[in-house]
Amino acid sequence: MSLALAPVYDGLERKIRAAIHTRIGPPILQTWYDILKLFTKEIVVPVGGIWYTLVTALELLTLIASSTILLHISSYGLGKTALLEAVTFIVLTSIVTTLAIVRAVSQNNVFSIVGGFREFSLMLSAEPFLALSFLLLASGAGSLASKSIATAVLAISSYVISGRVPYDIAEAEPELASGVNIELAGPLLGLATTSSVLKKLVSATLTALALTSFVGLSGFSSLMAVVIATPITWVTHTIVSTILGRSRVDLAIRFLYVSLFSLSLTLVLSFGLGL
Amino acid sequence: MKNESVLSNTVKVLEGLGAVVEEVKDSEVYLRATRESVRAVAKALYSSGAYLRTCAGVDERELSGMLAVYYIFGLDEQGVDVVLRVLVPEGDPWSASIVPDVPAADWCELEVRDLLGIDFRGRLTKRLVLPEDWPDGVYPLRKEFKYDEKPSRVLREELPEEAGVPVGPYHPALHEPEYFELYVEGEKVVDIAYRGFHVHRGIEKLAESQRFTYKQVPFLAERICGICGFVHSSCYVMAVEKAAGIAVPERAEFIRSIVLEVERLHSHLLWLGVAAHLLGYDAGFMHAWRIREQVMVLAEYLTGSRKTYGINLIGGVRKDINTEKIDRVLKTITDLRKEFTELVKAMLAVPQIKSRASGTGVLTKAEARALSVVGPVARASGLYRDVRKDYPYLAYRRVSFKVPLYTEGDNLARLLVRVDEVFESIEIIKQLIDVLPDGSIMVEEYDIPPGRRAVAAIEAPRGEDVHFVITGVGRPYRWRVRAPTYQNIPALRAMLRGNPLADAPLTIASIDPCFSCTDRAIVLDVKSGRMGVIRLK
Amino acid sequence: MSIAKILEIALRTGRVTRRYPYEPPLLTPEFRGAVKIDPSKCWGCGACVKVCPPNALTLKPAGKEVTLEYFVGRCIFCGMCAEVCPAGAIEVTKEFELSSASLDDLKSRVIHRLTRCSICGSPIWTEAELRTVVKSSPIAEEYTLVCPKCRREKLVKAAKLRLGAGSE
Repeated sequence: MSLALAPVYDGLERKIRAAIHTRIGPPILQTWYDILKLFTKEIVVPVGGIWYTLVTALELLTLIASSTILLHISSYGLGKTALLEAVTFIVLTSIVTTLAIVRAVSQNNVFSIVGGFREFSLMLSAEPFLALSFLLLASGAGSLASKSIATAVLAISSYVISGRVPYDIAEAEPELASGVNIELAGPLLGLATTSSVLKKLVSATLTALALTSFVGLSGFSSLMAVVIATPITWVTHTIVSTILGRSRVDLAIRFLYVSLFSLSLTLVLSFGLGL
Repeated sequence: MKNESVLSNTVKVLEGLGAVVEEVKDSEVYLRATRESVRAVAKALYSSGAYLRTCAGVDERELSGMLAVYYIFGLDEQGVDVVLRVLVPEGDPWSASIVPDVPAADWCELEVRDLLGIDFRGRLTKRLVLPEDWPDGVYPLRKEFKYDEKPSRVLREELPEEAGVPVGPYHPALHEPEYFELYVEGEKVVDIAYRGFHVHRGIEKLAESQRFTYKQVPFLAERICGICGFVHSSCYVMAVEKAAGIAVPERAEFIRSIVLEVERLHSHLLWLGVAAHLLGYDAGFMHAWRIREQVMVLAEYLTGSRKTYGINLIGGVRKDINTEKIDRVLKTITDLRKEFTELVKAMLAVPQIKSRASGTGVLTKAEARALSVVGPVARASGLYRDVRKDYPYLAYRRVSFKVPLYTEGDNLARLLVRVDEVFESIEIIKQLIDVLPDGSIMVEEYDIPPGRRAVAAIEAPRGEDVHFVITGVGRPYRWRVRAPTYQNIPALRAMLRGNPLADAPLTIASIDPCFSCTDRAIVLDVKSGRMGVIRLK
Repeated sequence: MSIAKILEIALRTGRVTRRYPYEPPLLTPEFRGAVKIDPSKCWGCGACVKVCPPNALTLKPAGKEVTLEYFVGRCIFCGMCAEVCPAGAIEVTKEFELSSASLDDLKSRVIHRLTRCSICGSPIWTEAELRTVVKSSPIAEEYTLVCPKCRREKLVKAAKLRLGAGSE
């Protein structure tokens, strides 16, 4: 079901972005139309043939699995999650990223390779912090203060993985002519687009989950809270991405390392000191 | 002429080096130099503070029996053009190159070599303008070549594959086909190779052909560029009017100036939007173009068309301005100023824009001077150059305005120069409307004697646009257009080297490249039968 | 904070894009679109053809007729033809939605019959031109139906006769 909702949220994002741009914008279902249209085109497979197709499809499937787990976690409430589930989520998300990078670097196209390296550096500066904060929050331990810091780290790093401005560096159109996705077309691009929309959903859900966990719900009400909070976080992400410009890969990495590292350090210290 | 004594001293020095004064006009001095002495003369001229504006090759065999190269220098301080003419016999066509002393002449000499077949000694030469498959020995600018002639292609050896990040010919960052090959080490650009002239349309040759008359060329000139078209058409008519000694009514000059400034507004707003888009800040792009839309509507209301206004004719303009139009102009620019101020504040507050634009794509003052760059690129690197101040034309003598000057030479400086220029343009338009004189807008009768020459220049939004005209019978004998981007692109090498790859699109865009303007000298499009795969890099 | 100023500006401005073509386009009264030639007024003189920069207007003679063809595909909408037309036959409209699947839709023609010289048979001018000239200044018919070359020859012959050169 989340698979069906994500493109609608994306359509909403485009409408809101258009409003900030003083435009009318595309209809809300436009992302769905785009994805469906792509699947009606002829299948064009770049270097790597069937292997490439499998990797792209696998990326999507893994993402679906990871978002499902996230929802499952939501139905428990973040603080009461089994460690195994939390770790599975992290592992799955990392696999998704790795697959994307492998896919990009496997092409014989300069733009794709440069995009892949940028994606790699960017992920390296966000995912460890994502994992750290998520696991800490999932364990349920720590004071209100440390939980807040962890939520902040989670919010920033999950925004980074959502692939939006200022961190859409890997597919920067003016610089890399759509970078990692440059060799994709037709149904394969449809798969990749669905993946990117789902990534945005995971990112919004993560933040929604962390925020609603402060209320301390569990079971069905926790799930509902997350489902309602997700589009709200999505809209916040939209507004942030519209009022900022694209960062440069070295500037982005520097910023992320400085901010996330210091926050995480504070987090770990506060944990260790039992605050 | 200001500072006549400085000018006559300079001329004396040049005469001492072998130049002969041919003609002295109001703001132009024509000197003839021999092909051996031209390098020394050019060096002396350049070191006396002149900037190279352009050089033009002319097939003068019908006039003087020889081929000619005209080097057009500009003495900004005096507001005078100094033109060096070098005659070259057809049977032995070579001339000494001035590039070792005046690097700014690099491209225009190569263009003369390609199109007229004059060889330049003392420098490295290569094919610049003509495509690789153009046959040798066929020189499009020579009079025997018909403008619609299509020589058959010549297959050449496959050129080696070069490594590098290609930016072009078709790339989302570029609006017109250009080809930059960026040689990178990791994310750092170590060198660039540039290949342009993909959209060479043969406009200069076309204007010389039977197909065109003086009256029709302004419309052709307007289509040299889709953004600064009016600049080109105004510059052309100004050059012809100067050459033929036609006195244009004052009101027409004012109308031309007003429309020129309106064009500057729209162009800078367009550029600002594009720069924002390249930095990922699409909101800036949309808002800048929203504001620009008002200028486009104003232009349509004033001239009848949103772009390619079509109001310039030799001897004046076609459309008049009434009080309604004046009110509309005032309203538009007042609203514009308010909205623009807000937008710039909002844009510069975005951290990514500030951090990515400052300190990147630096062009030092020395490099800028050596290459004679023009426009905002020059003014951002500390060169105080503006045609409206240095060689006042049309109604600019009657208004006062500031010329923004920055010294950092980075992308942010170029951005700020353009922002300041928008505000100055608004002031200029207000002043022009205030002192708009009455009278006719078109000269009733005029005569264009053949064999006259003139240089005219206008400050386009991108910089100095130079037109050189030699009048013929019924149509120009030779028309040379040097658009500002032509002069600025060679500076990109200095700006891109040693900088991160990610800055390349912004740097390239920061010179506000208008490739349509740049590639417009000679016959194009060899569409005759393909014989095989031709590698066009 | 000023970074969010753009939101405030957007809120204040609303939406500026239009749902064209479901809404009418924005045109000012000065807009120049395609031109329309009134066949009843046109003389077929060719002044517009001479002035047209892209050769959108062409005069094609074909036997007894000459056709003034206006090809919108080449037109640059400068309106110079309307300015120079001595008959006032050309009107600049505001039409710009001109695309069509058939090239012929873009061409409009005014066909003029040519009057021919009663002596040598070569075409002189169009019937419309003739009508206009006759209306504005009365001329003897023998002049209007004779081409300038033949008229000259006739004059020379008559002069020779008068000067008594005798018959040839």
